Amino acid sequence: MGLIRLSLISLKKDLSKSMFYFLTFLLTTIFIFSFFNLVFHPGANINLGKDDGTFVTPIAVFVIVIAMVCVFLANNFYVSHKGKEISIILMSGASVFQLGIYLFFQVFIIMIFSIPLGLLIGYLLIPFINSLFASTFLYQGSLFYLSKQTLVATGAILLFEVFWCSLLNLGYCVRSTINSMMNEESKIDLSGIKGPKFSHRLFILCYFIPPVIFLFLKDSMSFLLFALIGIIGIFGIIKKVLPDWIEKRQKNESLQDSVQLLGLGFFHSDIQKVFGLMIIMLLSSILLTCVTVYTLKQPLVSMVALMSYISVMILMSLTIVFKIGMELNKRKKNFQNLCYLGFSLKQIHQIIHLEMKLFYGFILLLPFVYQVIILLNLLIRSEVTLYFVMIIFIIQIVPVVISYFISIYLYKAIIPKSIIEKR
Amino acid sequence: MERKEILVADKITKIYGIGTKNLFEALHEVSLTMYEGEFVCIMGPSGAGKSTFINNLSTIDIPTKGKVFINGTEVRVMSEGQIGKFRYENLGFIFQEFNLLDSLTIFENIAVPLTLANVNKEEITQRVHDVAKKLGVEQTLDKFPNECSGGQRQRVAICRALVTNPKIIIADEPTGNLDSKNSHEILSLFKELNEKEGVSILMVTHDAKIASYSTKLLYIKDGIIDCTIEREGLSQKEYFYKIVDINSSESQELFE
Repeated sequence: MGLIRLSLISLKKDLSKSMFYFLTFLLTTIFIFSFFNLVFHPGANINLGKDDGTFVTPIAVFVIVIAMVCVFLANNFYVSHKGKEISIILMSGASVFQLGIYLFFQVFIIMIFSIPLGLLIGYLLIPFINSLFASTFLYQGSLFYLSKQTLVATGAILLFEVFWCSLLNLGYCVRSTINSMMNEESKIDLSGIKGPKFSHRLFILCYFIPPVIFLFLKDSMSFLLFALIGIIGIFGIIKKVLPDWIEKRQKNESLQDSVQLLGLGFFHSDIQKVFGLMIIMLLSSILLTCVTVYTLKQPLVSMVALMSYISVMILMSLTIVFKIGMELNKRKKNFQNLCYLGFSLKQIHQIIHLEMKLFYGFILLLPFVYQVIILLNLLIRSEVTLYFVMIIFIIQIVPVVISYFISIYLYKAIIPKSIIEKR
Repeated sequence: MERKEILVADKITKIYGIGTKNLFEALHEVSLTMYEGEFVCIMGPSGAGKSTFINNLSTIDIPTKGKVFINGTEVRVMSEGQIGKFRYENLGFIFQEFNLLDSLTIFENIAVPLTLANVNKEEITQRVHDVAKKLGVEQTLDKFPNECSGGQRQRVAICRALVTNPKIIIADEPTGNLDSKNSHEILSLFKELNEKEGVSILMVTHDAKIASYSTKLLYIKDGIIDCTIEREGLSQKEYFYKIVDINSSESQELFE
């Protein structure tokens, strides 16, 4: 049994740990492929880089960065979940180089399956995407076109991702001690991100002023500029205002309502653990909506922005669900203790629903307020169709609602059987 | 005859939380010299720094200050490439939680260190069977860890630690998850390995009965070595009472 066989056995027997990584690679490949195929379409007339007279280059950079962030997060989840395995192999006398090969081989196998499948799905999606957006933007062009540049650009980005993931994995093994790997389940923690030090009122003002201004704006570029102020507000609401509000409510009004007390407590913990991902998702929703409406007069660019929006929403929803799932696993004991304290199954379900409704409610509604006002403004002035508005709402609502139901399902799976049997 | 130093700790200090407000010094300039063939036990109250000490002595963690020499080599100056080979040749680890890989069979778990050292297949099979027979787990080789009892799993962990013929066995609460019968069987095995095969053992425990199998005891308190007892000519029973005395004097301080 050589090192590679050991790596293969571990991968085969821990397939569930690889699923998220596989899915992220698969989706990233599909999105990057579809994105570039649209951009490199001969009818699009887009030149990425400094000759780009459209808004596509910054959108491309944004999408690539988000896709990479998702892949790096998935890689981080994967490797940090293998902390115990890695530490045992290190203790058994493996060198860091051997460990690098061990991990690279697993990553390589996951990619062997996910990348070709992603390319195939991307290829099959070409006519579907083209016809969908052609009907949205009245765009005329070939429905089935595959550019050589698409393959080159997608290949380059995927290679870059693989290279960096391997390097990061090697770095993780070098910088971590056996002790730290054995005791740390997850290395993902973006909660330390520091933002501007405003008062609560200022953050709330930053959030609410832009929608009021949106009502009167007539220039679609201005939406983007004012939305940037709103993003500062959202940052402050999630980081400061909401946690303080929860604490105050728990101290004053929730003490006599155990379901609310616990639901708010778990919600508070979710905000802290998933803060970075929440911010990326909220920021993406608002910015990509603004970019889509800003580029409405350039149908293909708007199409690219809309596709980026779909990609980012799906990728980020998947990442958040996975992160929430990891956090829930740590809560098994909490529910066992609640059972000992006399909580009924009904109360536990109420706690779970309250927490999840608050969590996904904020993810959905904070940007949705902006989107509704912007789109209504444009709809009233006949700059967008109702069909377009519905598409934006569907992109915003559907991934979040699906994530909510998956999280509820994952949550119910961790409730100790002893509680269910007592029912 | 002059005894050979197998493990030397020179004023090691471990500080956690560097760069944060919550600095905590878990070990303060602790020194130790362990000779070849010794069976050293580390005891102390909860949070005294026992596991931190053993982890820092055995390359599992890195001391903030001070030096550790194992078999004459300073651990901190070794490159990442050297340290793997060094662990393979010198150290065998055993933990309270067994730390077996659930996805591998018992045979594969024991074989992991040999696989990494590129030992050929025939030799791996031979050595795994030999060590499994010695520890009485030969019949479990085709099973997975979750199909074995706690006692069997700990024996398998010991097999994995011994299969490379290490110079030192590092054991952190090896009986913490075992019943008293299995605990004493495991310790009898340790004693036999130490006395008959000359394997040096460094073990952490909080149980005085388990500690009484050792030849030397270090009592750690608040990150420093509070006292040391050598078994020398004492019987295991006499040695046990001495260990109990130290533990009870610690408890007595509560009432003074």
